[in-house]
Amino acid sequence: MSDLAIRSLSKSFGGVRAVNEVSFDIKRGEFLALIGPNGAGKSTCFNMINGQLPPDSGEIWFEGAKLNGRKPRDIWRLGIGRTFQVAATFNSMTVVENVQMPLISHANQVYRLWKPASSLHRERALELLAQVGMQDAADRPSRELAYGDVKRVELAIALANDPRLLLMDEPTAGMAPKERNDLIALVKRLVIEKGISVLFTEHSMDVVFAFADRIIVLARGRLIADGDAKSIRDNPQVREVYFGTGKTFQKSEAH
Amino acid sequence: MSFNAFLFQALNGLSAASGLFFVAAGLSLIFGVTRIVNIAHGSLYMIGTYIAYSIATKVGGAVGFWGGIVLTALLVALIGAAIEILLLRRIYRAPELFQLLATFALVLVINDATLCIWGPEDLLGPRAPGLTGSIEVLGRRLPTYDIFLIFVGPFVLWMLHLALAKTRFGRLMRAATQDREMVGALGVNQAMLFTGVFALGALLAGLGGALQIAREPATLATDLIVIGDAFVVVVVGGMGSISGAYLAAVIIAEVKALCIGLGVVNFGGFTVNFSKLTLVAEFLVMAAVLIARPYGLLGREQVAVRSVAEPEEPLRSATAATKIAGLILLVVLVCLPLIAKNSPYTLVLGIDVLIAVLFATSLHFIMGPGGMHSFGHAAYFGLGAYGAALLVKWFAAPMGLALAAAPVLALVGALLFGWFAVRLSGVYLAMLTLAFAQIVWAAVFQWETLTGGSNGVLGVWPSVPFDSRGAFYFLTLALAALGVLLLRKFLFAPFGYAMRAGRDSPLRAEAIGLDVKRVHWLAFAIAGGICGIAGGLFAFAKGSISPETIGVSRSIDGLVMVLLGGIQTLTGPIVGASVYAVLQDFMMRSTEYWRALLGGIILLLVLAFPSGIVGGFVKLISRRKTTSKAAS
Repeated sequence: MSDLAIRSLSKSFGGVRAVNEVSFDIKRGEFLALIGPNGAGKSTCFNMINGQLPPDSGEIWFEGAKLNGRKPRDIWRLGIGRTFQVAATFNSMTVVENVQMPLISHANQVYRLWKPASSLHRERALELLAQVGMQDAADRPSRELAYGDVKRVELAIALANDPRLLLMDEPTAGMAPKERNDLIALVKRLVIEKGISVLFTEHSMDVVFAFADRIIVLARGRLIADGDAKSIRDNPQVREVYFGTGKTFQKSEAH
Repeated sequence: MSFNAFLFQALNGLSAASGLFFVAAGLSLIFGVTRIVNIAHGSLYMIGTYIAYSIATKVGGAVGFWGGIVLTALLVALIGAAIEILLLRRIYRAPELFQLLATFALVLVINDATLCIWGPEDLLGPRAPGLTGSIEVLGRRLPTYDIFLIFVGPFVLWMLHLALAKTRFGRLMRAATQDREMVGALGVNQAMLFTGVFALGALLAGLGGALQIAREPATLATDLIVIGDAFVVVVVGGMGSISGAYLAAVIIAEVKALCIGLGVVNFGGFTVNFSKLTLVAEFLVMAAVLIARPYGLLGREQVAVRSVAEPEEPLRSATAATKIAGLILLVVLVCLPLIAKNSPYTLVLGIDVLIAVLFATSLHFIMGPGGMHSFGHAAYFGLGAYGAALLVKWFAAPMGLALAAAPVLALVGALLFGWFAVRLSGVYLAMLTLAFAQIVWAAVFQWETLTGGSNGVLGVWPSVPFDSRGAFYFLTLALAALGVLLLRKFLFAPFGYAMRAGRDSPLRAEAIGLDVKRVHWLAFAIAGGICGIAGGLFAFAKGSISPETIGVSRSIDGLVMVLLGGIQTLTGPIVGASVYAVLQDFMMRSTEYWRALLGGIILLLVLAFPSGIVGGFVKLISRRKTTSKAAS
């Protein structure tokens, strides 16, 4: 059975069809990479799935529930976690409080006015931090962390409500090659342990080919390829969008 | 009203629109480029009226009048440039709100300087030489000077457009309005640009003021009235848009003129006196525009300015030292009636300070942790105060009931206004809250049969056993302490964390299931409710309540208190409110020019402690700690 089903998803900005009739599935426990050159429509696709952008047409289904028209916070409650391209944490809080926040929200305790928040779900938050290797920084202000560490904390935040699907928009953007590999290896290990499906976008082909179970390729809003690492590597259409045909300048010389 | 009379009022409105446009255009330009909300802009306009008056009467004749207008504009531009160079340039890196505080201090200083130079009397200038007559329009006489004004507005708009489109300076200004960091990165001398823009904005304000002297006398109340109107115009038109400012000025002037023209109208037994609606009209227009178009008629969504403010420390529960200090303070406050046995005035001041503390702490609750900069917190103070006072006046309610009703009424008001306000952010939220506060003020001021109008409600005295000064002091102390501790408790609870989460990163907060708007809305309501208690106590402490005590100046007082103490600390508003209330009281009693003195002190504090008094101390202590650590 598939966890997430995307059917004929489309979105235009003015005259540009950013995402054009895109359909794909993610099976339970699958580690799916969404790749494509800049402007291919990856982020637009993402933002429709997580509820930030309404699609023009098409449907998004998650475990039998239609996601179209739901708000980001409701989609989160259905069991879909996410990380951001530019890591977003709560800067005025400590690292562990950043992880306690989604736990409080998950337990529907947001509107409580009495008991101090810092005592709620602290154990569980520390456990999550331990899973991403950040337990030692638990009581530091999160704004003091190095960027790679912020990304790890964000991962802990995203895992807090035991999601069954994790959306990661360029999880390694802005990181050094070694850090990238470590982070994705960590994600891969955690999702296998927990049986989470992951949809992620990524620019580093090394990371994609090393870790993804399956790869789908977007170019100019259309899905042009879907398969495992080898078939994508050998796909002529994919090669063309990434390397070009070499004809661009020939044309302009002809003029 | 006949159709002709309607048209005539419309023409009147157009001539009033020109004056509004000049001030608003300057304010808008300055905000666009420097991101400073210049509260002192109305003061520049006021100086313009006085300088033009002096030149016109000293020199006399056509040269004195028309030459005076030009000279005034240039002089005010010079004053503006001086303000930018001497003051604002030093605080561009300070948090946005501190710049606001500094310009507010300027309002105080300029007002007293004007009082000192020109005296307290209203000064009526000469009529415009060459334009003293009037012509008949639609069967009524319209002064030729008004017709002149109708054309001056669009003319200046056209000139500004040319300047912005064709000159290098204009292009730089437009570029800086869109992305001032990029302009800086391209090697443009920002200091020169900012001074230039400030001078240009001041020139427009001076011109607007100078042109008014033939119509209205120069008075000391001009500054706040004009800045209020200008804010409304700028926000309705869209921050940074000059054409928007003109459009908005015309709409608002027309709506006002129409209200005057309509007068008293009967709607099947219901009498509405529209001429009394003028005070509310512009704010109703603004509220309506902001709800429909959150960035004004011709404005665009603001690019988030990369914050230069220092990030906030995580909340830590009070250390033993803080707790002990708090306890000692409480004990001292409890013993105050004994300590101050021989000076009954100390208790009066003590009550004032406690009420100010409660007021400021409730404002800080939404401003600091909530990130919502309310410019109209007086609304909830007023609702609480009037709620309690009116219950006493009309139903002879006992004090207990009246005091209990105060927060309820304020809470209901805050729920209503907050629902709209939390949909906006930044300057627009500030302006919408200001509009709501003005609506409350105007309702109280003009609903004479219920509220007693400008006289207010008298005879609201505490009942037994709180009828003695000392007993009422204890009551105030108890309620203030309770309110402050409650708000503190909320901040440490999940709700307070959710509030800060929504402020720190709305995207992330929504992505972990938080309904940020709802959290902020409820926070707004809670702050309003607690503020209502302060209002109720105030009414009983003074024995009366009048519209002037719940006006714009109270909202601004609240802002100053919060910012003085430091917005990023929880003890900040307490210290800020105490210092401000005591300072104000002390200076009001010691000098006629207390405003200037207060303004001067605020300026000094802003320059010396850009993160507030408590914030400054916290930084000092942490610096000590790090140096001593390094040494050991």
